[in-house]
Formats: sequence, C-alpha cells, structure tokens
Amino acid sequence: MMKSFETLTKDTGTNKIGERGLTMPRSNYVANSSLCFQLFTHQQCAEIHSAVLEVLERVGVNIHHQRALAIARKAGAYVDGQRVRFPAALVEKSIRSAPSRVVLSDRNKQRRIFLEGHNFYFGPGPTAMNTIDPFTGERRVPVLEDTCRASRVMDALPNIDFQMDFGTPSDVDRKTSDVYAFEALLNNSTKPIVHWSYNTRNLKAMVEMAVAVAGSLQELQNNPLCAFYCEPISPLTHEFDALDIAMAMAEYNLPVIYTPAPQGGVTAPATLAGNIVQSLAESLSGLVIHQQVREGAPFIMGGVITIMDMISTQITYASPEFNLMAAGLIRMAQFYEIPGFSTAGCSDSKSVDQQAGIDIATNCLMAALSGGNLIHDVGYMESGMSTSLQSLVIGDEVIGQVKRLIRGIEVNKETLALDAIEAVGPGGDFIGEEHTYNNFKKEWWMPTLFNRGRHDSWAAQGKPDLAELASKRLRILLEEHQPQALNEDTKNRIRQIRLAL
Amino acid sequence: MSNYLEDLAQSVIVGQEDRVKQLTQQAIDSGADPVEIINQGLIPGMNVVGARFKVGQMFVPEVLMSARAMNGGMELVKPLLLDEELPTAGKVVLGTVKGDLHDIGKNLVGMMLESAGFTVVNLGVDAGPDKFLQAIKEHKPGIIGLSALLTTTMLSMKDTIEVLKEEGLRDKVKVIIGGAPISQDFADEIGADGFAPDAASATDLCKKLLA
Ligand code: B12
Repeated sequence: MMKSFETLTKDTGTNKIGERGLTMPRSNYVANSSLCFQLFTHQQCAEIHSAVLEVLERVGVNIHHQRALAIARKAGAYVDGQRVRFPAALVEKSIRSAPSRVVLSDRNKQRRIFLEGHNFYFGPGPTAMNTIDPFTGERRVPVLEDTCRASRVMDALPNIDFQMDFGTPSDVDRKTSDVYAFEALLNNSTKPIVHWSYNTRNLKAMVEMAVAVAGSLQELQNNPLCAFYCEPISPLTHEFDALDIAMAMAEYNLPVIYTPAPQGGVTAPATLAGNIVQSLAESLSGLVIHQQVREGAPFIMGGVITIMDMISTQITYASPEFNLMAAGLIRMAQFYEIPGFSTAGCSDSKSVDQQAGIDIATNCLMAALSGGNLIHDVGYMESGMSTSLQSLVIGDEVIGQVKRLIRGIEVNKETLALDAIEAVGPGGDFIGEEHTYNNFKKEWWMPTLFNRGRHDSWAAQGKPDLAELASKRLRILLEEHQPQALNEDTKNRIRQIRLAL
Repeated sequence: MSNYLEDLAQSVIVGQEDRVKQLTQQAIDSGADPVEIINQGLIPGMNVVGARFKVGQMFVPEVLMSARAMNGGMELVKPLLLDEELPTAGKVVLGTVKGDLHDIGKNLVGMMLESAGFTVVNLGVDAGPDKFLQAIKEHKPGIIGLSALLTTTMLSMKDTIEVLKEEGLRDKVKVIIGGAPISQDFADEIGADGFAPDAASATDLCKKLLA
C-alpha cells in the first residue's frame, strides 16, 4: 500500500530543481529537463476516475468466467448472473495493490525496460494477417520465416526496445501459431518479448519455454523476459480466454497487459473522454479480478482506443483522435501509478508513402511526449491489417529523432557557451573550436536514414525515396547483424515443449 | 398531397424518426394510399441516403438514423398492407463463425442490410455449421452470411458449406462470406457464392444475388 494515487498532484518528474547554477547561487530555480506535455490536469484525471468508478458501480461488466465470478463475489462485488458491479473501494484497493513499476529483462537477464513514471520504450506490433515484403513490395500472408526475419531486424534496430511477432505465421499448425511465433522470437533475438496467446493451454507452454530460458520460474519472476497481453471485449465484457490468461499470469506472478480495443461510435462512445472512461472501466475491472487472484501481481494497463472511419468502416491507427486517446489513457495510467501500454509508429496507409511518414512521425512524438511506457505497433500498416519492415526501419529512425526532441535543450554553463562565444568573437567561426568538438555529438542527433545531403549526391544514388533507403538499410542489417544465438541445449528444450503441445 | 411525400422523404434523409411517424400518421388519417407512402415517400428518401453514402456525403451513423426513421414510418403502414404488398428485399441469416468472437463488422453488415430493407436474423458469435443449419431450416433465408476475422477461424467456413451439401441444402441458399482476412479468391476456393469487403458492398451483393 505504498501508492496514494488520489493525492498525486505533482507533475511526475518533468520538472526538477536545477542542479548547476550559472555562476551565482540562486533560489527557487526550476528547470525543464525534458519536453513537457500533459493532456489532463489533476482535476480532470480525478473527474475521469470518478466517472470510471460510476460506470463500474452503476453499469458494471459482464464476466463469462465462472471462477472469476466467484472471486468477484467473494471480494465484495455485486454479482447478478454474469453482470458484475464493483464498489469503488474494491476498485481503488486493486489500483493501490498493483505495483507502480514493472521491469522487463532481455534473454540474458539484463534489466532493460523500466516501465514506470514517464519512461517510454518502443516496439513493433503483433499478429497482423499480412506483411508487406520490403524487397518485392508484395502484400502476403506471413510465414514463420517472416517472424524469424522480423525478430532479427528488431534485434538489430537500436531504437526498438522489445519484440512482438509482427504477423501470425500461417505455415505452422494454426491452433498453436502463437507458440511457434514465441519460439521464433526467443531464438532470433535477445530483446524482451511482448506476446499473446490464444488460450491458457498455449500460454502455459510459452511460460514453460521462458522458464527454460531463465532457469526457473523464480528467476523468470525476478527478471521477466516477456509479458503477455490479452483483450477484454468492448463494451464492458470479459470473455473467458482473455480473463483466464490474465488470471493465469497473476498466478505465475508474471506481467500481463490487459488491453481493450474500444472503437468510438461503434463499441464505445463517440466522445473521446467517454471512450477513455469505458476503456478504463474495462481494464480496471480486469485488474480487480487479477489482483484478487494474486495481490501485487504485475499488471500493465493497456488500451488501443480508437474510432471507426464512418465511411469505410475501417478503424484508424493514426487519426488525431487516436493519438489523443492514447495520450489520455497514458495520463490516467500515470495518475493510477500503473505502467501503461500504448500505441504508435503505425499508419492507416496501404503503402510506405507520405501518409505513412506523417502518421508515424506524429504518433511517435505524441506517444513519447505523453510518456506512455510500453509503446507498441511500430511498423503496423493499413489499420493493423499488415506489417512492414520498411516502416519498422523508418519508425526506428523517427524514434531516434523523437528521443532527441524529448531531451529538450539543456541550459547550463557549458551549453550557454559564453567562453566559446568570447573565444570566437565577432566574425570568427566555430567549426574548429574545441567547444564544438566536445559538444556537437553530445547535443545533436545524427540521422542514419533521413537524407540531408545535396541534390547532386542524391541524384547520383538514383534519387531514392525514404522507403528505398529503408530497404537498403534493411538489406545491410540482414546481411551483417548476427543476433546472439540461444544455446543449443535450451533451444532443444523449448522445441520439445512446443512438440509436446 | 405530393408535398407531404417530399417532406416525408426529406425527413427520412435527415433521420427524424418523430417527424416521419407524424407525417405518416397524418397521411394515413387523411386516407392516403399506404403503397404510395412507402414507394413514393419512405423508400425514395432512403434511396437518396444510400446514394449519398456511396459518394461519401453521408456517414454510417446517419444512414442508420435514416433507416430507423424509415422503419418508424413502415411500422405504421405495415398493418394496412396485404401480405404481397409488404416490401422486403429478402431474408439474410448472419453469424460469426466458430471460435471467433469478432462481431463488430458482422453486426454492421446486419444493420446496413436492414437499412436496405432486408430482414436479418443474427446468430451472434461462435456459430458453427450446426447453428447455421438449424437457422436455415427455421428461417428459410435466401442468403446466409458468414463472418470471420481470424486466419484460424476462416477455415471453418468451408465446413459449413460442406455440411450444407451433405444436408442437400446447398442449392436452396446462397452463401456469402466476409471479414478482414477473407478475399474473393478464398470465396471461390471454398465455393461460396460471394464475398464483399465492407458493409455497403455486402448490401449490393445481397441485392444482386436475390435479384
Ligand atoms: C476489435 C478487434 C478485436 C476485439 C473484437 C471485439 C468484437 N466485439 O468484435 C477483441 C479485442 C475482442 C479482439 C480479440 C482478438 N483478436 Co482482434 N481485432 C480487432 C480489430 C482491431 C478490429 C476488428 C474490427 O472490428 N474492425 C471494424 C469492422 C467494422 O471491420 P471488419 O470486422 O473488417 O468488418 C467489415 C468487413 O470485413 C465486412 N464483413 C465483416 N463480416 C462480414 C460478413 C459478410 C458475410 C460480409 C459480406 C462482409 C463482412 O464488412 C464489415 C463492415 O464494413 C482487428 C484489426 C483490424 N483492423 O481488423 C483485430 C484482429 C482481427 N484481431 C486479431 C487477433 C489476433 C485477436 C486475438 C486472437 C488477440 C488475442 N490474443 O487476444 C483475439 C481473438 C478473440 C477471438 N477468439 O475471436 C488479429 C487477427 C490476426 C490473424 N492472423 O488472424 C487482428 C487482425 C489484429 C491484428 N492487427 O493483428 N479483437
């Protein structure tokens, strides 16, 4: 009971007292050490929270899971058939008992991802039905080799912090394609894995694989190399499999991401605030059950909150409303001090074109600004219908740029550069100065993909556009990058687990 | 009199159910021909809505509101009609296939079909071949529509078609399929009668199949 989310009135960590004075002592000096953006004020968060409690107490949710119903009743929820309404105290108790941080490790138990406060980490998207081949441009159903290749690319890209499967492989047993994909991710990269499961049976096999890699369940709990996500059904419904997976993860004491996918105007209110309220009611009611199974079990609050385009009936992964609701969800996760799962780096465009670039640039910056911890779906195209490795590579570049933006401008004696300005004086130049030499790399972001060159050299290269540059980089990564191999013994053991399924 | 028909059509277009009901009742009370109310008031209004939707001038929620307004008027007129005068575009049974819980798209298809005058029987989610079989026997639809959003569950569409063949019902009913992973190629491969990529074209498809 460390948290007191109701009294969270301060900005979390964006403002800090300046450590270094200029030359003289100063009082009450406050500095922005990174960019600031806050969608809701504290009062607005409290108002939204109050609405969520009201929805849970007045409307409630449907739960299609006998054991969860019994658990809810025992915890003091009002159970009426499958409809469950929650007293505010029970919801708030669950918010408090969920840990305020979740750490994910890589395959070698190096702690890499610290989901807390405003920290943000980017990674790709899962399960798409198609993938756009980066070299042929063909849109096709993914096969297991695509998962392996994508995993190697994720391993190589510096700004991609975790892996997801990037498409459901179709050339394997379809009922266990989740397990095949998990095995592929374990084999091809050391980066932490965010994955999913059709059901608890497959989940158990995958946890067993992760245990085989970590050494024991306890070691896996201590340094989890994976988190699993599952999704309630909007509006306000918990289907069996999703809740069962969340409950199993609580029993394992391993991180679960509970992430609804409400569509404004269809399965949720058209108003953005109402959509966020409903999404929170869905994830927090899941949290109540989850915390009852095991108090303190790690929980990450998700939500791919969107709207449907009312002409094409396609959902959007890049509209301004989508970006705003993602930021709103994350603001609420911070208010609750529960790690958040957010979405960016994705596009509604059908090809890696101008629209895709604008979508990705906008939503990556928005997501980073909101500080939404585990940000997935980089490389998603056409509203989540396909993935693109070209787009993932471009996303990596955009994230690099975004990280620089978020760092903001440091203001101190060295950066104000008074001595350098004096040394150069009027009419001189800085290019040979030691101050330049010492600082330009520290302060500037260097593109690896974006072309800042002159027209002549661009023309000489055959006038490549961004997508072509991405493919070129991809070819080099695939040729040169050697991911660390999983040792043969463990590799065999996880294969045995899959075969035994 | 023709003025009220224009007003009626206009009220359907802007989706004012109350106004449509009021105008319809007034027309009935003043002895207007019920068939005229439908064919020259309600339906022309809805036709404009359909046309505007196709060119992106109207949006789904507006179409549904117009359909609700039209149906408000229909309900008042229906009791005055002979059976053979009852307008129905046909009957469609819809369901999401076994193991699949995605129903948003399928429900939208249902709503748009209803807007276009079809009678829709919605089987919900997780509908296996048996459920479709039973519904065909019970409701005698012209068309059954199967929806799947998962590459795992789309395969079971074929099972339903096979069961229909075994039961000797395959020629009695048209089978259409849809959902994000479905394509025309897949429809041809499993021997379905049609595929449509979205709700608007699903309506056109049903009209074509029952024409
Ligand atoms: C919303 C959603 C969900 C919701 C569903 C809620 C509900 N009530 O339906 C929830 C969160 C529950 C969910 C769960 C899962 N989902 Co889901 N989901 C989606 C999502 C984001 C949107 C689907 C949608 O509603 N679209 C909007 C509607 C209006 O469009 P539509 O369904 O395509 O329907 C239109 C047309 O297809 C057509 N149509 C549809 N049906 C029919 C029928 C006929 C006869 C005709 C003619 C036309 C037609 O007309 C419709 C209207 O225009 C898609 C991604 C996407 N962009 O499609 C993933 C997606 C379909 N899901 C996916 C997955 C993997 C899952 C889960 C397995 C994830 C998990 N680990 O939990 C589970 C499976 C649950 C189950 N057993 O079914 C994958 C499928 C990948 C694959 N290879 O199969 C997708 C593609 C996500 C992704 N980006 O990878 N999901």
